[in-house]
Amino acid sequence: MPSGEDAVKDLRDKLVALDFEGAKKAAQTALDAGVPPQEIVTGGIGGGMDIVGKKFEASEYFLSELIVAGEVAKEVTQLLQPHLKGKELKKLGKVVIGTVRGDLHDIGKNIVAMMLETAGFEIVDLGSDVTAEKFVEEVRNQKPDIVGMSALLTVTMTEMANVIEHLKKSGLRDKVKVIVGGAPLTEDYARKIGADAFGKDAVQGVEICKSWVVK
Amino acid sequence: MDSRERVKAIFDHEEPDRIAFTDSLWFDTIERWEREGLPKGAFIQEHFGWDTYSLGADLSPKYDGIVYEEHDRWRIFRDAYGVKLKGWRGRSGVPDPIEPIVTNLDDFKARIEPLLDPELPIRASSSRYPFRRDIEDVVESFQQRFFVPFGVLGPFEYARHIYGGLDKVLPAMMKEPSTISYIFRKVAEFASKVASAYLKAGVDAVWVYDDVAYANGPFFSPKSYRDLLMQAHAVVCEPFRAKGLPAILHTDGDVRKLIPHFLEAGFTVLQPLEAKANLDVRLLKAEYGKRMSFMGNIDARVLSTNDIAAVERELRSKINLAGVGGGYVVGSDHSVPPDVSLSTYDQFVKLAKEVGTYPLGDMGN
Repeated sequence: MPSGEDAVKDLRDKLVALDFEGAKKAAQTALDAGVPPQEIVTGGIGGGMDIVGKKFEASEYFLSELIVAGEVAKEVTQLLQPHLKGKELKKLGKVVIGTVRGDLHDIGKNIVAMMLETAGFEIVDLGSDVTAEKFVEEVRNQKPDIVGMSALLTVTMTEMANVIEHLKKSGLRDKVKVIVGGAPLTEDYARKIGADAFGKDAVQGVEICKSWVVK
Repeated sequence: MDSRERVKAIFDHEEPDRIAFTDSLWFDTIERWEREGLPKGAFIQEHFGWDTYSLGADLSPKYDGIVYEEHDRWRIFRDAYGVKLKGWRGRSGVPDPIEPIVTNLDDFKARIEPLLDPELPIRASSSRYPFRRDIEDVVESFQQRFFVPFGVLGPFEYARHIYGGLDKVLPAMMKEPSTISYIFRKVAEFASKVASAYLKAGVDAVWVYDDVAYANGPFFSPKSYRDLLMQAHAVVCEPFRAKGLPAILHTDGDVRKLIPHFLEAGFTVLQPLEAKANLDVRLLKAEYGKRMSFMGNIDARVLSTNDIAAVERELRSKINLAGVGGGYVVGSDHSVPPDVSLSTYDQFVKLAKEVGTYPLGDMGN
């Protein structure tokens, strides 16, 4: 029988190999060997997703692999869920995320939310076509560390500036970091509207968010 | 020299009288321009002097549309593919899928495949189709003014739609490659049969609309393209390539990693070459210009500045390199957005034709 440490490494490798059954089996082996579920999450799932992210950045993996890796991570997390009760994972931070008003597309936002969640963030997903008022309300109620906004269309990305204006008027802008992303956006545009960062893809977005909360 | 002769010469890598021009516009852009003086309901291709006019056919399974909910700003409906969608009311925009019609091979075989029969009398490919002569007349009529390709939805886009989106079809490609490969093949065979009916009617090219990339690169690996999709693309291209006619691929995004494989599939023209996805027709021409022609690549972000001097610089810098020896049709790098004024667009088209008159000039500034 492999040691707990070996099983966690195996989980990480199986996740990178996008092997659903192998990853779940490795997670079960780690549990049976007495590895605390929190360690399985951080070492196995978190470690695996880090490698997947690096492979994505190096163009070894593509969007298809990124999405499937997220699905593997989600299934393993579900398996671990009963063992995590009462042993809340320490979250890296809280992110309120949504696709801005006028835009119904949420695939990009969903991938970012999934990647952030597997990286250890708590996610409050507002969905698509989210008004500036809704963003403000949720920032006030949820007190997140970060606000993430997505837009697919050039005609809707201008709404991001509106959300930032609403946050300023509500006195909340200084209490959160704002990251934006989506096909038509650029670094320049993000800077121009007063966002703190532009994530060119999900992996870079997660890295930026981590850099804000990991001291 | 007419438009048809011009585009044919360009795709044969010869220099005609001037560079050819074609484009596409968002619905909101046309609405703006109508407020700025474009005659309502204008024949866009003729009005702006584009050189191509694309015909198309409905390749959907032809389900009846159902509207489930109507709200002030949006509605929920089922389309001709049987997919449930949420879309805007009274404005343009791609609707978002909320319920697919296919989640596995059994669904496809039961709900889609029987309706992709090229012999159904409603299909142009059927021996019982009653309007073949009309199609021939339409093709001939448009060819007096335009180069006339036949446009089809590509197998990846088709599968993406019936699966209910990118986040469903990409995992399916990884987890059920034989299912996806089967769907790509069946859709391609059907599209090829319908396209062949138009080929018999005399169209000049096939134009496959299949977005396989986004701003940061392909959605999937070149290996996945080769293993799953390339053969399906080849099936659609083949009848046209057998007659020496062009096969045009429309795909958004940064497709540089896939271009050698597109060539192998049989595509001879790539469009629209999104500048914001780091595509540059000058570099593509240098690398693939002997084997491939290009369309588009004039940066819509430059058009959106409405700065005519900047538009002219963009045109000169690209036409004067990419147009050498033919092989380049100019146009925007994607549909023209509504922040471009009618006046800017008029001048853009005029300048493109002036700058693109052979022999080409220098690089300008």
